[in-house]
Amino acid sequence: MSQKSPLLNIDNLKVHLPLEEGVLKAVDGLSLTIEHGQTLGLVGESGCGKSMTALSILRIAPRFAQTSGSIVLHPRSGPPLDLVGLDAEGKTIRTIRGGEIAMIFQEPMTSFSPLYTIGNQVIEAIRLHRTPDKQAAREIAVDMLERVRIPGASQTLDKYPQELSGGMRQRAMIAMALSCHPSLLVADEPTTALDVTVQAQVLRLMRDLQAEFGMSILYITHDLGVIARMVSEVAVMYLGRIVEQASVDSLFHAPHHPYTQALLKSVPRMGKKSKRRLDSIQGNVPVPINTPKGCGFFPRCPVAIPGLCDRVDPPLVPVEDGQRVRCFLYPEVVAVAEQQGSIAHDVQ
Amino acid sequence: MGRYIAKRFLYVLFVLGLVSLVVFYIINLPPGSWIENYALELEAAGSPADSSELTFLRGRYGLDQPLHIQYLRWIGPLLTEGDFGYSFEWRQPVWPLIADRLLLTVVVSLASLVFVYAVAIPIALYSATHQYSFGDYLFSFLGIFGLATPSFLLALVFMVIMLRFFGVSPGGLFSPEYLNAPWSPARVWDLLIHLPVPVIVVGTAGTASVIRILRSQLLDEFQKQYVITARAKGVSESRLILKYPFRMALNPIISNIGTLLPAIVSGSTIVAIVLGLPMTGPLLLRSIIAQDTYVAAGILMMLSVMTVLGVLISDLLLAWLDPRIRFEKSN
Amino acid sequence: MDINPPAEPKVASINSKATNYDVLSQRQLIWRKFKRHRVALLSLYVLVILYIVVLLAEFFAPYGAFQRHSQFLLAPPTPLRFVDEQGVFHLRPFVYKMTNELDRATFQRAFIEDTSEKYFFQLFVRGEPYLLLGFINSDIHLFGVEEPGVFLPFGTDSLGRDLLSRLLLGARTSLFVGLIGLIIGFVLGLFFGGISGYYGGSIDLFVQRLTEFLQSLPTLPLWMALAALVPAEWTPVQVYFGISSVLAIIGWTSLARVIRGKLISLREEDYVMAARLSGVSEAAIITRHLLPGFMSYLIVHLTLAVPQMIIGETALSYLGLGIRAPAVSLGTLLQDAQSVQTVTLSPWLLIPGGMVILIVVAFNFLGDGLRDAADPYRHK
Repeated sequence: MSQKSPLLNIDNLKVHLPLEEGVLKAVDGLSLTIEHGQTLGLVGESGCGKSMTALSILRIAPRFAQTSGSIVLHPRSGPPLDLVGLDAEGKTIRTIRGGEIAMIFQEPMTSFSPLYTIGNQVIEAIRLHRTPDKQAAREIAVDMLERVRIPGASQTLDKYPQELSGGMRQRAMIAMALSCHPSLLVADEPTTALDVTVQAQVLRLMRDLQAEFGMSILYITHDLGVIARMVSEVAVMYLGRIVEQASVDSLFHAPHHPYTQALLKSVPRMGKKSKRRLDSIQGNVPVPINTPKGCGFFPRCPVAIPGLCDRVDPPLVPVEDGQRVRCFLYPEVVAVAEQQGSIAHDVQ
Repeated sequence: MGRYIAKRFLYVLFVLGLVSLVVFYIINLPPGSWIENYALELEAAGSPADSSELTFLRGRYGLDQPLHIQYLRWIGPLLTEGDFGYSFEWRQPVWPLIADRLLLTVVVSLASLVFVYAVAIPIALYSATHQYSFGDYLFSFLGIFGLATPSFLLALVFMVIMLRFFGVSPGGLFSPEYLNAPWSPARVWDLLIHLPVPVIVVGTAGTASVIRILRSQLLDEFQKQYVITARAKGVSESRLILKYPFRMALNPIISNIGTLLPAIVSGSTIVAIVLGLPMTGPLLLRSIIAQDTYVAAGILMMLSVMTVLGVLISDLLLAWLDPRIRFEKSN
Repeated sequence: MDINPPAEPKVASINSKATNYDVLSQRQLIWRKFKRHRVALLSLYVLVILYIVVLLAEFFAPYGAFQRHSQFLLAPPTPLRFVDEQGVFHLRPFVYKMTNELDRATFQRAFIEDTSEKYFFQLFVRGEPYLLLGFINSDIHLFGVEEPGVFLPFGTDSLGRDLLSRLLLGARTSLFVGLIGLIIGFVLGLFFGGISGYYGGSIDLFVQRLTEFLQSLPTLPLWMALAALVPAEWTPVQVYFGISSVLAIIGWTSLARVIRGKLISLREEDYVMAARLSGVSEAAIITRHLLPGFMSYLIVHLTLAVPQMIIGETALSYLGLGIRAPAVSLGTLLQDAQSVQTVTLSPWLLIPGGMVILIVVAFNFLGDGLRDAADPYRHK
């Protein structure tokens, strides 16, 4: 199903939030490509900038955020479009939101307004992007609710969100997101708040729907288990940047970046007997305000090279087939850095 | 829903019964009475007390009986015939004395309520959507003084400004020629022309507090997930704000009528006294000082009826508007 | 979750000094946050100074509050000058001698400065004797001018009494009536809110209905009726407490609701449950876990309740139902400003109104600042 043509090109995306204490660099030079029909996973601890990236794609990051770089969308019709250059409240971005790119969120409990029925809120999206006709929009909504396997779709439309369970609400959310046939679905931790069994159902549903609709998915999560089940390609994010990108297989079997390695070690595995305690990554995720120069992971890295890692920021470089890493442990990375002239001087 | 409304109505009836009791006792608690004072006065003036009248009144209202009998003799005719009793000072029944003033109090209070919302809602919307802008700071600053200025002081300052800079005295709700005229379209129009000053004075504090509450509510709501969800599906910003956060923030504002209305009635009472408006305020003050029991009790009772009914209406409105409350009440 | 920007900075400031964590107590955190609210801090200073000044009002006032300057009825504020008629600058300010003439056309008294006589400003002048704080006999006033000049910074009232001196005394009454009313209201609110939130059930329902009932009544008319209960023959001190109680009888309801709400929500908190499970006694739970939890909210609400009391007192006294002469309060001072004609001719009579606004604004800002600071972990 993948046609290997880019749908979304994010290049050097920076989202900076000016706060009283300094500038918080939520996203700091992120580059990423999502192909048509691809499911890309974006993994990282909370606070690493995943959600901010998602919000920025739709241009719904907080108003005071300063966004730079480019996010180029290749829409179904018309020329490529740089979303960063658009007026965040303008008409163009509004036809893309919900139309070309839809998003589902973590909190099914609060994602719908309690004051309106599910139907009201789902139909609102359909009428914005597909048909202004109320009756037709309602039929589409009923159809979508049936497709996400909500029983009694028509009655459910007239219910208020608080009358539905979390799993049902998240299904309704997915129905709303997919109702306008987006080419890209941004899913920001859509199953985190759900029970494990419900989680499995929703994940399966999303996979089925992707096959059915053929859209791309940007799947954001901190849960590596979900990643293994859902996606083909993974990008690992740390402090607002990609530190490693690889196919799911390569990443799980041969993680290159020390951060990825540590992340994988901290996941419990079934069946694997071990007397050791589960590892945890030492230290906390630093808050990206006034970050020192050098690799962001340096303070927590067990294999850091003093004198290098704390002074120079490594570039993201392909080291093996389709695997890109941002770490000086790999000669390819050092070579690129030397070429760019960022270390020749510094390292002696 | 029907049961909820019925329950609320019953509760309000109970509350009003309680109000009548509390009001009557409070009014009668101060030592002495108008009749005693009057008798003393007559005696002091050396004229023999016209005891037939006093005796009649004492008997009619059971004034030499215990307080609960007096209460029953007051509340009985009030409920059965709408008879509010007799004003000793004015030598006439209470109802015709207070009816017109009560009507004007209702008019001024409702107009103030409308004024509060008409001014506060757009300002709060502006302030919340333009947080930290010059306009936001300006309104916050004005609001602080609006909240801090007692309404009688505001009324005074208003009068001084009008007199000094415009040479007009803003007192009154009517031009002299309409003051005692029967109701007619021209008199209504005259009232409308005179309404703005008292309405602004009475409404200022309420406006400031509603702006404050609504603004912070809106700012809270802007952060909510469902707002982001709605934005993510491509709803335009202005429609989004009105449909989601504003609609949500409206609920506490509606339930706030319950505190706003008593405040407005309080404000209109004192403003009417300062500006000398033909409303219940000045009459209430005078009747309290003169111990004109039935006038004071009647006015206090009717003002309470007004606010209690206001609270009831806001409750019902809220239940009608907010599906969450509807569920809670029907289950 | 990344959307709430102010959530992070606190972690950041700790993080930046990852090696030496600053350990701050709750109180330090609150104070720290409070200090960042400049206006609230300023308001706190203003109020502290005000309370000190009014406590020592007799010393700060240039004259006695009942001392009449019979030559100066409704005199405007005396201008304090540095430069005299000849354009000579004096480091020490002075006032000119004041004389008044009856304007034959308007029959108004006009006050004219007689530039032939200068009286210099002095500190610690002897004047009207007084009893400070009820036990210090003195006749020294902070400032004044040389005899026989008079310095009336805020003018005089219709009896020729210095308005500044009366203002300080009146502010004392109003500021403390607010506090006393607050204490009474606090006790009532704590009691009703406490039993309501603690016992729940039918007691809770009863208290809830009672507060709802009182809150649905129009406050001022009720206050007016209650104020009439204060007997005419009571001494000023009795009246004072009487009026405070009247204000408190209605003022406690919102406090009770806050306490009840807080108690109920705190009882459900995990840490209270945890304490209960580890066998901490009920009394210790209340004092160690519940009270600190809402102490800050209480203080905030108390701060915001004071101005309500002060406005109530002022309004009642203004109507003649509150503090009565000879006692002075900001409300009784404003009674002089009742007629528009008087105020238009003597606008300085409105100065006590300015004082009311200053006090109320300061309390409101202070309350706002405390509210923001009360929960140091909460982001705005």
